[in-house]
Amino acid sequence: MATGDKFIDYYSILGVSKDATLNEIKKAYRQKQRETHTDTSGLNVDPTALNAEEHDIFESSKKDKTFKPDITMDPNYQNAGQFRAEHPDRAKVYDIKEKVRTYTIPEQDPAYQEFQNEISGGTQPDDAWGRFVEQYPEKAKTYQTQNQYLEGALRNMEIERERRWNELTEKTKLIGQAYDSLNVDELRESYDRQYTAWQAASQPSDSGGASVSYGSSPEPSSAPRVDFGGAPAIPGSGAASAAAGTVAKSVASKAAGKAAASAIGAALGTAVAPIIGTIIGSALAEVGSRFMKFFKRNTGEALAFLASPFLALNGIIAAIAAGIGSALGSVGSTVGISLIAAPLILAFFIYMIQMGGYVVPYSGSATSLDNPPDVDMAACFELRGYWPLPNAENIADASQQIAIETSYVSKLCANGTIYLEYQTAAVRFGGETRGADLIWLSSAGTSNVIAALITLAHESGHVLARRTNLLQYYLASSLLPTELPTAGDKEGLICTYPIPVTDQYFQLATPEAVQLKKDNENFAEMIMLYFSLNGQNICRAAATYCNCFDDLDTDEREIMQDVLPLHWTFAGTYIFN
Amino acid sequence: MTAKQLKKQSYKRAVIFIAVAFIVVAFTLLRQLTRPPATPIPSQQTIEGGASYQGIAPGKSSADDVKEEFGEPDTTNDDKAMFFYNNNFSKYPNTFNFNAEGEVILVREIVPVDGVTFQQLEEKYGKYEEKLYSPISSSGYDMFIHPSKGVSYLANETAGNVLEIWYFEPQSAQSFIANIAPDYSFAPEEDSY
Repeated sequence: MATGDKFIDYYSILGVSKDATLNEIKKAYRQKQRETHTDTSGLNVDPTALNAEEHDIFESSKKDKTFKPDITMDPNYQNAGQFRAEHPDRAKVYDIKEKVRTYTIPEQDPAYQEFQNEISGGTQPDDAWGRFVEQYPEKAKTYQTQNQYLEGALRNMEIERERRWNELTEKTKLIGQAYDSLNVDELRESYDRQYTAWQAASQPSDSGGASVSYGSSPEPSSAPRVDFGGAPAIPGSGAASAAAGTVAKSVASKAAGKAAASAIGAALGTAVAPIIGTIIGSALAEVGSRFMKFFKRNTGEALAFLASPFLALNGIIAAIAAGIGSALGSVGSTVGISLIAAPLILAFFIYMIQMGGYVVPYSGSATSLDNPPDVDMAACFELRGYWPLPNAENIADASQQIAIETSYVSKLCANGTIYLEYQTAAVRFGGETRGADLIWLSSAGTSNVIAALITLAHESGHVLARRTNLLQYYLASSLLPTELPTAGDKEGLICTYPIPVTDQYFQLATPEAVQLKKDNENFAEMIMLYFSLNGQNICRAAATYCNCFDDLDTDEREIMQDVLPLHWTFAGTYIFN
Repeated sequence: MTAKQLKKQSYKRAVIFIAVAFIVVAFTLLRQLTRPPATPIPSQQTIEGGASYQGIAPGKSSADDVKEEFGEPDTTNDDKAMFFYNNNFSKYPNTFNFNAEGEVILVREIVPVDGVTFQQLEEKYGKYEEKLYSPISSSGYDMFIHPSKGVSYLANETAGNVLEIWYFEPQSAQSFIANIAPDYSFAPEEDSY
């Protein structure tokens, strides 16, 4: 397609000749899509993560569509023990997939989480790290040491990952455009007219003349390069890490000064003030006693009796003085302890940063401890509570994709803010709606932009159902259930929904309840499938997720319009209009 | 001790006795007056009859009564323990469940879009006695029950719309869950995606 004087050779992008049949174009499209898809392109695979055998198994498993993204989504999964006993070979594949998934992302690694939990539980960080290195030497190498975290190794990995992500996304987009233009006869004829003209004007050779390198996405010029997943590469850490070090040193130096001052304060508070109080009290008591003796000696008992109120007054004064002394002591002690505690807490946080407890962001402030992170959330979504930065950025991107559908957002957001909380431990899969204004999202549900969009879009569908009567409209529609694409044991569910409703996980006893549950999840899944990522239908952007559409028949159906025409119309009419 | 002193002492004892007795009686009366009136637990309480649906009263009406009122069902389940009557406004049919003796134990009335609202039902039946979590609580639809009145509704309290109204014989909430609504519970289900 021509844009200005730039012409993109779609034949070259798909790697086919101009005479290719539609079938060849479709095949080429699928092949290219697999090569560039962020889930299957090895974006997250560290070469050191797998041995040769595991690598082969992993590569083979990518071609086998019966494997789900996660072991718990496998149709035969009931619990881990049962699955491993009955399907040992498949379990092994899932283990390798999990290894790949978690290998270079500490936040997704249960072993690393355990390491952090140990520290939270009071174990010395050095001890915990030592155990981690002993138990997982390869992972420890990959995650780098605590100093390397601070000095930017992870930051560089993130930059590289971001660059590759952008590159793949760009390629995927172009492949999608090429496919859209070439797979329908009329569109192809129109494109061919421009193609022929362009060839005649500037490409006399018969090479096909790919003038556009679709791997040319802008690379951050200031981005330090590092051997992705290889040996530690400290030199490229750049200004951010230097700044991080400087800030850390400065903070540490100030903390040391404060600690010394606080020690003096504490000493004064806890020891000196009570002593002063006691001395004053004792002195007053002594004065009173001498006063009494003076009266006895010089005026006799009778007058001494008269002087006794003075003695009592003297006692009261002494008590007050002692009280003041004690109070001064308490204040001094509290101030002293606070002054000691503050730098200690600060020092603890700095140490946690060094240990990788907080990933140094690759953009923005090098030592930002803001949480939730200050990311660009859209629509009425707002982060709440702790969020790891990469996950927060993914969910922010997803919220921006949702915000594009303005009609949907106006319905969804009419009742105000929807808070998003990061709740990995409490959420079994990707996400969970917890109220009309609260969604929980897990690490898996936000591990990349596509996962984040799929999860957030689905859960926002449940929130929409909570806030409006649109679910009732959907349930009342007698047309919808007749055209559901289903696969395997997920009868009655849109097949992209990852969990069979009849699974014992849901523990539903009656068919009526199962039906309601299916319709409810279909409603949310329908909304999710309507969305796009960067202008590309979500099933094109996340082809792996929508694989089951292609399993249904041989018509190569792949997106919602083709597979769920009635749902597409319903969503377009009632929800996105 | 003189007689006068003895008399004075006995007076003293009488006064002390009367004072103590007065205090005890006053204290008892005060406690009775300030004690809150004993209230029965709503979920255990039942009322005579209970709600009914177009003349069909769960616990009293039979399958024949249902047929007489609504005609032959559009479909039944295998053991004829359920009658289904289709609606022209929803794919979900109205449902009648029967026990082994052929008595109606549950009527499920499907509510059309823009039909009766949650607020209207609250005005009619009063504030619900118990709220149960449903299989679609993730979308905000819970079961609001009046066990003592034999009626409940699957509704969205926030949006105000009602999907279904259930009629059953008055019974406790626990019994309702055990015998009629096993997929509904006091605790929310785990509902991850």
